[in-house]
Amino acid sequence: MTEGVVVVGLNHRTAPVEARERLAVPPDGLEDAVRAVLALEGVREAVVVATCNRVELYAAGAEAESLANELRRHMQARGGSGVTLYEHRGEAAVQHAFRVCASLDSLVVGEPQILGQVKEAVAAARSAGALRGRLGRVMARAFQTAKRVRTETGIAEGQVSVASVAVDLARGIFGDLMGRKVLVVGAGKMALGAARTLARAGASLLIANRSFDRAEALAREYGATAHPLTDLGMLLQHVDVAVCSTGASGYLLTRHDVATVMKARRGRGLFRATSSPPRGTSTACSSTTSTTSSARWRREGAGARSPPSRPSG
Amino acid sequence: MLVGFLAAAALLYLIATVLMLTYLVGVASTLPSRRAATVSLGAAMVAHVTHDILRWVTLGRGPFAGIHEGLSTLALLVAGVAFALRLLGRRLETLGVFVAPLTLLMLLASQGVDAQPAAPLSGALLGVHVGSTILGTAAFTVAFALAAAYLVQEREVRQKRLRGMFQRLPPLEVLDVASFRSIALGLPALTLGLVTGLSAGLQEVGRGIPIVSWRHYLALGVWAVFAAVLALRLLAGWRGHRAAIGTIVGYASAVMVLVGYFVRGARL
Repeated sequence: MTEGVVVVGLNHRTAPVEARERLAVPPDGLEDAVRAVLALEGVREAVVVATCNRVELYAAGAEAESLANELRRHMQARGGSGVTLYEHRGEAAVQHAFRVCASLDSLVVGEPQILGQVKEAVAAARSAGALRGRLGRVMARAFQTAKRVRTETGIAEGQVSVASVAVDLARGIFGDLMGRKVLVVGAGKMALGAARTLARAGASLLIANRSFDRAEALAREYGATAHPLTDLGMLLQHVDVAVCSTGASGYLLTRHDVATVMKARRGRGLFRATSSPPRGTSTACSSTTSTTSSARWRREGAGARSPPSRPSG
Repeated sequence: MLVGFLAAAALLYLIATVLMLTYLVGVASTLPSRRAATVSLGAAMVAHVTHDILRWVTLGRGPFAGIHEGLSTLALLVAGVAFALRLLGRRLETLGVFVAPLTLLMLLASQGVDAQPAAPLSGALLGVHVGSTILGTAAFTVAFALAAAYLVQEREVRQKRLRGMFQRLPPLEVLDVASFRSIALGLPALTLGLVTGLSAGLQEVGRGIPIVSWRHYLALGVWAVFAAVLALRLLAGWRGHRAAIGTIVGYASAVMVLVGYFVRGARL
């Protein structure tokens, strides 16, 4: 079953966030991405797993070596040039898939989102007609293994949700989150998870979203206040924590925007956790020093590179 | 007997330091280690106070009689602040791990300083000068400990280490605000110390005694650094990392003044 199965990719350990951003695939672009891989020479089956912390191309074909070279070239052409890509073939590729699905390879080991994300990737591959046998069986076995790992080990115990990690980090900065103003940007699945965790921690929630109706719906559920995304700059001047969980394809904040916000805050701390690539804020913001403590921005940069929202695996 | 109490105080400060350190890095189990550290710190302070009272009674040298006694008083004051913080609440309890070794060092250093009253100043002004300078230095010592804790905790947060020290150290904002308050307390005290020192020194001019040495310039430098940290925080929003670095730089200057006293005693 493992012969001819190959995976080529990068993750949070092997590539910087900028490289992961360049190769990012939005959820609605997964099918097209799979079709593009399927069109490569020698590829019979393909799955594209793209989260905020990893982009991996799984493929099955006759010749593992030429297949791996094709996948590597494909990734390099799409923005992965100069980036170290890892590669596993045969049994090693299957083991890697098992590790990823079981959340053993995640930034937050044991977080449950990755399994759902790989399932979405497999569903996209199926609907693109890219799973015909071998790779499909490998993925099905990987899901079974992940389930066993969760039920038969203690991996799911304790602190595993990416949103809850963000809450813990925020506690390390501010202490108690009770009554703290926390802005959740976005109203998707991950924003929902973040809102739930933050509401449980006693935070006073503000939700900003491009679609105001969705922001209102989420706000009603968690006793939050809804705001249009156009208020983002103003909102950031008043909150303590901002969790960005949008699928926006561009930056929501530029370096200039952040500088303006921090100037208005007069150095008051702002912990910002951003998720899915591209991160909601320009990379340049990480080195902003003109209006506030550079460390604060470095801290925010670190936050931006880690937790929340959408994909995490 | 004096030496016995001093040795007991030093040993107990050392034990408290080790216990707090093992608690902070998670080697020792949490509760017994914390309790033992508190008991050790308290016992060390009792031995220390007893030593200082006996010295006053038997030798007639009070807490501000000279640099020797001043350093010992400073060590006691710093330990007292750390102990009070442990009793007041859990948030700043681990501060002791940064403060206890400093207390021990100051206590040991005080024994190396010339115990003779070599200072050219005398009378009430000397008492105010030494007392307020000691209070200011104690506040800066606590601010330094908080700044050091801030940088350690900041590193834990940035590296997203959610166990161990991250859980035992106070939140960054608590450390930042407490450090600011310590400096806000220490700066007026040091200002008073400098002004009274200068006034008393000027009174001695007529007697041909030199009133300025490199230590005084350095003390002015310490004052300037902490004043800048405070002013930049209030006027330019300097907080967190930058304020912590500024505090550490200021305290390093203060340590150089103390080392100066250690090396040369109270002589100019």
